[in-house]
Amino acid sequence: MKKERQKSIRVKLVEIFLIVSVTVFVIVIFIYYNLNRTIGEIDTVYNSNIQFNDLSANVNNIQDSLYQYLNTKSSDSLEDYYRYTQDYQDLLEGLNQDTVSGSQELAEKNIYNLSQTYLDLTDNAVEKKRGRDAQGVRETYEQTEEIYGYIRANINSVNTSAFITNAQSYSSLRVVLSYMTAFSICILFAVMAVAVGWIVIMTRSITRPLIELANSATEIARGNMEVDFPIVETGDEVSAVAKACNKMIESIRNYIEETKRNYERENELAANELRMKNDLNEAQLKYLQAQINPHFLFNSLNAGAQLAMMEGAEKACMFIQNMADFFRYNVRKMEKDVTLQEELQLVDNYIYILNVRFAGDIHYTAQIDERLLGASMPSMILQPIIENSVNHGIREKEGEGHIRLHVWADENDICIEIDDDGIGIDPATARKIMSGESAHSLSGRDSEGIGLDNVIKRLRSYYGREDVFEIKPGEEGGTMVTLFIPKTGRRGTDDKNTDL
Amino acid sequence: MKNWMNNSRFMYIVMLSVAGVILCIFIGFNLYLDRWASGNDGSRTEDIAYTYHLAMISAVPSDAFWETMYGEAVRAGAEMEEPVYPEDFGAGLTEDYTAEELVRMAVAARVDGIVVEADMTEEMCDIIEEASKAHIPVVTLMDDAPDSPRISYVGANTYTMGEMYGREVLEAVPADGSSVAVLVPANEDNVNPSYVYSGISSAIAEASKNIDVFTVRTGEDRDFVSEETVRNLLLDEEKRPDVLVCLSAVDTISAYQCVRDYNLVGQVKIIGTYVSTEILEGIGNGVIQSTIVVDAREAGQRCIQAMSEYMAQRYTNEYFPLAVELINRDNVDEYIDGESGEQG
Repeated sequence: MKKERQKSIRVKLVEIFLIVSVTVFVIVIFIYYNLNRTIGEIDTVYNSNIQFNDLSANVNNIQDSLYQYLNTKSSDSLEDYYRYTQDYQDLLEGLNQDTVSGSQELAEKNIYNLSQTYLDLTDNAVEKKRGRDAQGVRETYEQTEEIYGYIRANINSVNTSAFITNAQSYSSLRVVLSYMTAFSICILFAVMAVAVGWIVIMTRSITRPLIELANSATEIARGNMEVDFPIVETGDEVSAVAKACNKMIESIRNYIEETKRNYERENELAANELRMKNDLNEAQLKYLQAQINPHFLFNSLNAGAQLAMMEGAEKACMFIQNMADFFRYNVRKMEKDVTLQEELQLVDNYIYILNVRFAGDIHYTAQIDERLLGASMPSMILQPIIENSVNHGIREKEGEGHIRLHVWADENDICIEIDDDGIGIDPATARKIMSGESAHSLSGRDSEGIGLDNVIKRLRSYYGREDVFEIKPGEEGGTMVTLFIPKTGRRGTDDKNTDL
Repeated sequence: MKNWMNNSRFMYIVMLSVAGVILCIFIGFNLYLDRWASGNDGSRTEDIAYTYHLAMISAVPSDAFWETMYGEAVRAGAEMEEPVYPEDFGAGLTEDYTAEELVRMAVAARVDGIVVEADMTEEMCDIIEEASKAHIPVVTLMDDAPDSPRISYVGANTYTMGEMYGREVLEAVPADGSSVAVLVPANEDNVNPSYVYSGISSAIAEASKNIDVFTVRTGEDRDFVSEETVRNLLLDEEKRPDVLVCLSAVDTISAYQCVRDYNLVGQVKIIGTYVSTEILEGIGNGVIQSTIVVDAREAGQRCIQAMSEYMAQRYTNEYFPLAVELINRDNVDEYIDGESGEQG
């Protein structure tokens, strides 16, 4: 079976051709042999008649030569007599000499014995002729004639009966021959029919997989990549081709799938970037709406600071300097990644300004793991949160307010926790903010800053994950906001150059 | 659906089977030719290896008695310890030979023994002597040649048979002055006195009736004489006998046919010899009064017995008597039943 599987098309075709040829050849040889044999049998049918005719002619010759010799004593006749006698003896050896029940065989035995008696008598006659016994010669010759007559009669009779039997054999053999010829022709036709049928079926079993292969190839050429090449385990080249084609089609499908996935991912990235840009633009727009020409303001503040310095008003100078730093940060860093340190610096500036504005009512404490100061992050993240704490927490309540900022790191993230002791937030509002539903309304009341929803969106886009922001009521009242910034920084290497 | 077509191994088997079947047919045909040829060569294997070749010679080989006797002899010969094959000598020859010529031919053909059923002419006696010189034993059947060196005679006691005929004649003759013709199937050269005729004469003489008994030879010197002789005899109203005694089956059948053809039933009574379908029919319808049967089977067996004994011991009985049976209208049915029973 295994061996059969390894047969190539060439071997199969040669096999079919050989089997058909050899079979037909053997059968033709058999037909030829049988016809030849039958004809051979027909040829030998009359052999026994020929044998008896020879016997008859020979005994006739003996009698003639004996007569000639006895008549003339010619040495030629004697020579003939001896020759014919010898021939006759040889012929007699071919006759049956046993007692059997067959009439022809028994007749042969009688002929044999009669001939022996006859030859004894003829020899006797020849001897008497030599002995010049004329009377004896005549008597013996008469006896030989009588026996000669018996022999002839027996030969003729057996010849006739043999002829009748042989004629019957001949006619029956002729019938056999004619049947044999007709039968042979029928057999040849039958064998040819079977052989042709066999060849058709066998070649179809070879070409059928090829046709199916071609059909599949046509289907694939039409664009239907889902079609597989049919694999028929014929063990020849066709199944090898089908297997190879299937592998090729599988590779093409994989490649197309991969390309499609890449394309989708790129699309997604592009869309993400577009979304971030939109968010940034929105932030910028809001900021610009909030700031009346920050450059002018910033330059003006710098001039104010210098004036205050010249007039010796240090506090005013400090305040104006802080204002100037605050706006400079906004102007410069808005579109770039910043370090945590820079963000914390901005928070310091902002708190200072607020404390000047609100007469030192806000107490700000920061507990920072300085190893984390170099961490990169989007700009304008912490300030809106502080602003939110002041606007919605502390300012709503009576008296002084406290804001505490704590930066530490756990296994994966840098955690920035900002909590205040303001009026706090109810958990439902906190959930809404987290899900982005009410961020706008929350920030809508205060159009000066960037809304928390913007902060959350930017953080999520920047880090490519959802759990970057948490707002919840503080353990001792107030509100607690925690940011989780991955230590690994921004998601994906491709995003490093994304300009925010 | 066409799974079998796709199974190349199956198709190989189909193809090879077809080829195999065809080859078997051819081989079978060859064997048939072989058998035919061997049968035709005459090299048939003999069931019996015969030791002796016997020539059985009859003057009238187509006689019903002879055919039955010969068939039995063949059967008996095959059963012998040293099997003997009796050849119906001369039956296969296209030319006709007299019994004497056939015996001479058998002697020249160096057979192992000769059984001859023919008139014992002087010539025949001479030939028997020649055979004896050539160490070929001769058994005479039905007709003896006691003076010849024949080894044995197988036959019925002809004188007793004659007396049986005589008694049948006495039963058949209507009255004194009747004439009786005895058809003797022999030619004039027969050396033997006709003991049958003597027996008939003696039986009639004993009855002291005035019955005219004469013989008519239906001799065997010519063929087809029997029917002609019987017809001439019956159509001659002056000579027409009242009783016809036929001493051979052929004469009996001829007489039966003649009596029927010329409507002489009742006028001429027939006393026949041996049986055949026609003779039994004649007895059945009363045309033939009776027939005297020598048991042909026994004759065949005795011939073979005599010959086998002689071959083995160079001696045998001089005379093997055969049983004689009278069949008439009373026992013909019984006889027919017995015969068909034996054959069955």
